[in-house]
Amino acid sequence: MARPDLIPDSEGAGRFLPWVVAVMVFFAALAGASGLALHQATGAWRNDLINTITVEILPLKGTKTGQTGPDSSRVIAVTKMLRATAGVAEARPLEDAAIAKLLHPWLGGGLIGDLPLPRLIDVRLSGSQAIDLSLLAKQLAKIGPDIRIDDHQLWLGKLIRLSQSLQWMMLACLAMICFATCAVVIFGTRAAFAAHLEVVNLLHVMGARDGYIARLFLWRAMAMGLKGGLLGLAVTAAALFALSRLAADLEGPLLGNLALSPLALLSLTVLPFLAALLTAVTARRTVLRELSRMP
Amino acid sequence: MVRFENVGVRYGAGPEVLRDINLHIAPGSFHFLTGASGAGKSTLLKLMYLGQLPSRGFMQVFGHDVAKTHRNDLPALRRRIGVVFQDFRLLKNLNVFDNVALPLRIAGEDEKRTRNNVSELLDWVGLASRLRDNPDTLSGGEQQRVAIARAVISKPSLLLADEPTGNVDDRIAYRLVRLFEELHRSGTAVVVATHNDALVQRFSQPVLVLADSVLQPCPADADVDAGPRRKSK
Repeated sequence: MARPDLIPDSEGAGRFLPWVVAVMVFFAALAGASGLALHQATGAWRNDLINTITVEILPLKGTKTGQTGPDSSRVIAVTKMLRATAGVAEARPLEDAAIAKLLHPWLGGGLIGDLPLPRLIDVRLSGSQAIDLSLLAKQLAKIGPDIRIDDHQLWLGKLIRLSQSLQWMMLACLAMICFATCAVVIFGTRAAFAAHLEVVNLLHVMGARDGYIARLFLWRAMAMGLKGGLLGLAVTAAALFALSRLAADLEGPLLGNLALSPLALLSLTVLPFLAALLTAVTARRTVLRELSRMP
Repeated sequence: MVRFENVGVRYGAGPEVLRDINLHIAPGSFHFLTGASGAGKSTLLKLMYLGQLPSRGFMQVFGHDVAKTHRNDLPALRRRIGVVFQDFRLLKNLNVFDNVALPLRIAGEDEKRTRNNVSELLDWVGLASRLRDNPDTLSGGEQQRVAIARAVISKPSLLLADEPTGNVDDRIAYRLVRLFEELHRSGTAVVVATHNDALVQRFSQPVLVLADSVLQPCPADADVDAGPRRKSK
């Protein structure tokens, strides 16, 4: 069994390694958390919207929100027709108050009463039976003009594409962080190897195999990587906690989906161990390469 | 045991630091290796303990042609060779016991046997009471005895000592060489490199002389192609 204390870790350029690994794990955890949150949110948005459509009844000229009149009768007629359509599980007209609440973050409370707002009918599809939306649109047009169906696909498609692009960017970030970590470990290991060359030569002369010498550096690098990784995770936990507190102050139906699930949070705890493994494997390969130059 | 034929060593494009070395170290033999500083004694020993490969020539160690031996097989050959350095090369972060035990642990020896062998050997070199001490707390002679104990703990077939008496006074130097003679009597082949001619004169052992990068011919001894010659006490 190789004794790690043959190569003391308090000397040489390797001392800064835990700090570098801590920073790398912090960045990796942030990138990972962002990627996981987006992945989770995309799935939630897709599930929320995939079996729903919204029917918009544009206001007739001169009609204001909250007024009864021709708009209300169109809402009743459209709702009745939708409920009778095969494949529709539920059709629910949104109350004026609900529409006002949706628009409140963008328009404020004062203006809404004076604006001609469309009437919205939230339609939930059963999912078990396919529905022909173009046929449904033609039937709705018979009830009155300016009645539209929004199946959210355009909006959802753009959002999912954006989200997926961001997720790929996060993966690219993680790959670059791994690459940078490996580069730093190679540099640090070479420096440590040079600093302990006398010990390495002595072990070599005594008949130590390359694997034995490499293991000394492996354990040393693994210990430093784990130490740095745990430190980086602790900082990440503090940062994510602060972000969650800030996010809690914001109101928005989409932000709720960005909160990380306990499983996703738990998966981030793997990072220090992955960092330690990456550090150890890189150090081992670096030492083996250096040793291969010896007879 | 060790055979060199027309061996030469050069570093890069520089001149040869060893030229046309022809040498045979027989099992159980004892040789002094002398020569002025810079003559190539350390390089010759380095070749013998496989710390370096020759630039040319034929080199055989324990019956293995070194040039044809796979790199992965060299550690096993090195374990049959003990090396003592002038500067001791004891590991400062290990105590005396762990320093001596190191070759056995590298070889994967059983820990119980390691403990017994190390204790026995430290007793033999007179350092049984210092086994938990740090090497820095020992005198030069004591450190060299620890280094010798470490070199012979694996019962090597060949013991190489590179200026082992360079850092100790004459009295200790004499005792150290007596220690090497004792090991030689137990069947270990020993090569002691030194530039201390006065010390060599006190022992009647064959001497290999390195000068101008070559082993000087010694017609008096036909067993070795280029040396050794015997010096009288």
